[in-house]
Amino acid sequence: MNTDALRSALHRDAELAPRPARDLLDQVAQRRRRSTRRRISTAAGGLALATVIAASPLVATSFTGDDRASVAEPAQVDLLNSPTRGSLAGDTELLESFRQLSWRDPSDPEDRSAQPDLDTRNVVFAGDIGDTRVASVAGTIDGNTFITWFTGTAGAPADRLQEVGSSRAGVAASPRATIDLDVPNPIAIVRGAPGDEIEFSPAAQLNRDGTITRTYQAGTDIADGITIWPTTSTAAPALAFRISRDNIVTTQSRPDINGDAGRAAGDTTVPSYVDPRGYAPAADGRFITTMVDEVTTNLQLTTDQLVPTLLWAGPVPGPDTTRNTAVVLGYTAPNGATLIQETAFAEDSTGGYLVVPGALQPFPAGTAVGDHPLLVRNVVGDGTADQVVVTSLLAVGPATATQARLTPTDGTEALPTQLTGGAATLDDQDAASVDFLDDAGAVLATAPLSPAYRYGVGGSWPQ
Amino acid sequence: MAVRFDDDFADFVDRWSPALLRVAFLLTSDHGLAEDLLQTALMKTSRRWRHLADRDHAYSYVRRVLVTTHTSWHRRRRPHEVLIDRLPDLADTGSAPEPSGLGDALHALDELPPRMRAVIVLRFYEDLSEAETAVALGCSVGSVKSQSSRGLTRLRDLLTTPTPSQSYREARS
Repeated sequence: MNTDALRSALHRDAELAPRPARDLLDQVAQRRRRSTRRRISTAAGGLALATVIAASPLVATSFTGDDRASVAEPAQVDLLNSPTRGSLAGDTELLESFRQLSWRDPSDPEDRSAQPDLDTRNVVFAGDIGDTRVASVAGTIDGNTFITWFTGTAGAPADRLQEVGSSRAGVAASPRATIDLDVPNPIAIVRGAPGDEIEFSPAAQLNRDGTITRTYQAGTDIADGITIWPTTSTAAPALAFRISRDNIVTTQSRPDINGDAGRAAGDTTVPSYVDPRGYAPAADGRFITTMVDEVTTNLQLTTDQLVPTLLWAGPVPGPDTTRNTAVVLGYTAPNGATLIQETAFAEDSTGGYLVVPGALQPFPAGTAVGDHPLLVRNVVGDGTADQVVVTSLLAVGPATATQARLTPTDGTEALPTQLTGGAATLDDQDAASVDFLDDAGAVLATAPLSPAYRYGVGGSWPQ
Repeated sequence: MAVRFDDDFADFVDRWSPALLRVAFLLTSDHGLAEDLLQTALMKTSRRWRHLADRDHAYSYVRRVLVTTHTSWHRRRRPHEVLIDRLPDLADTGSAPEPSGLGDALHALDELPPRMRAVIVLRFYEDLSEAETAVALGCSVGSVKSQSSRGLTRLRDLLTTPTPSQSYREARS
């Protein structure tokens, strides 16, 4: 390979990039508004928020994620000069051996560029947590501060510790959280600043009132500003943490995960689901698996508890080079609340497929999954260098509905579209909602356009 | 609180966001993260836009923000974001002398540390000189030289030896 070939390959693969969102500027403005509010909140001391949080130790975050607006800047720690925290902090000989540990690069153990200068290294944390020994070391590479974790069996000497592969990061002074699933009893360990309050949320909750929230609980403090939470390979992908300082939330995020989380490699078992409308032949088992895994993982509920129900599956408009399918699943939580999920898949001739999340809508208890009409915009690309993207609308209503009539955002009237089995794909247009009609023209149900999938902020799940 | 951007900032975003998003994608290999990265870089830039004296070089400025933001980001899993499951065109021949398969370069870049990856992208996609790359990354030319050399060696190895991660990119779920 020469550099010309590399240039060609980079330019070819760059074309796999998505197109900028049509509302990119709006998204930037929204992000800046949140950021500005964070600054104001910090400057004002966040008195109102502090009052709310003090009065309510278990504060749920909202499904919309708007609480992000109250997030203040996290406390920064001088990692290169701060005293070591943890139960082994007094063992200077052991700390020195931790400091000398090699920082391997998992993909290139011989690469010395990954080694921070020895004289800059500082052991930020060292301690035995249950049956696991944990050491966290900071150092500089090319003038930038990095931090990494080492783990091993409690009581092990330094040379028996292994660096946790994926935990290195450049924002070393900011709070960090990591989970090493390769130790016998995995824990999530969060390093904040001294004085920080650290809480964990094991999973998102689908509430009876049709909201999806998270509830945070205190973890186990093992040092000032360092807190742990026991976890497993199944639970780790759903775990979130939150750091508060002076009763202001400064960080809400998910830990880095080292090791295999979630479904075991090679496990291709399709989750059980209900198919009351007979759409199973149109729904590839891999697509069902992908969708159900997303919901069961984030909610940490089983398929038995959620009763996945196939509401619709069929072809949707997309590039000519891929087979384009959308699937709509409904879930009923034990508390009666329901969740509708729509995802499109673009499968190429090799069997690989692109997954495009469309909708994730919760509803209050008291209605059946089949009662929820849906209008969602699908944006299906083929993932090729030409980056063909086809957008369309999918309307799924009551099985007895025979026509759908969009309500355009410009106030004009649209002509009804014929439905098959209560569903249809429509040309993309600026529509606010859709009415599902029977043969007599009576409106059986109305569905607003589903909110777009939120890229870059944790999808449509609350953080 | 309404945020109003200058018209020329809006024009800049309209004109340059596709190119910047491609750079972001080469840095992240992930549609969602690339969009997140671009939004973050544009938000940071928007705060300083009125103080940006040399608008002719705004692209370079935003690109620098993009790269430095990326190298400072946490690496974390986002299991519920866009999933890509693709089988590239790799025959079982035991070797692939050139990066001919779509996505091969991205797969190889995934194996590089963030800073080394940024050097490769700036040098060989954006065609910056070593000095320009050093400015963009805020490091020395010597560092760019060494990172570039090591990165090329790594890429050469990765792109001439098919690995399981190249032949099957598993969907994250």
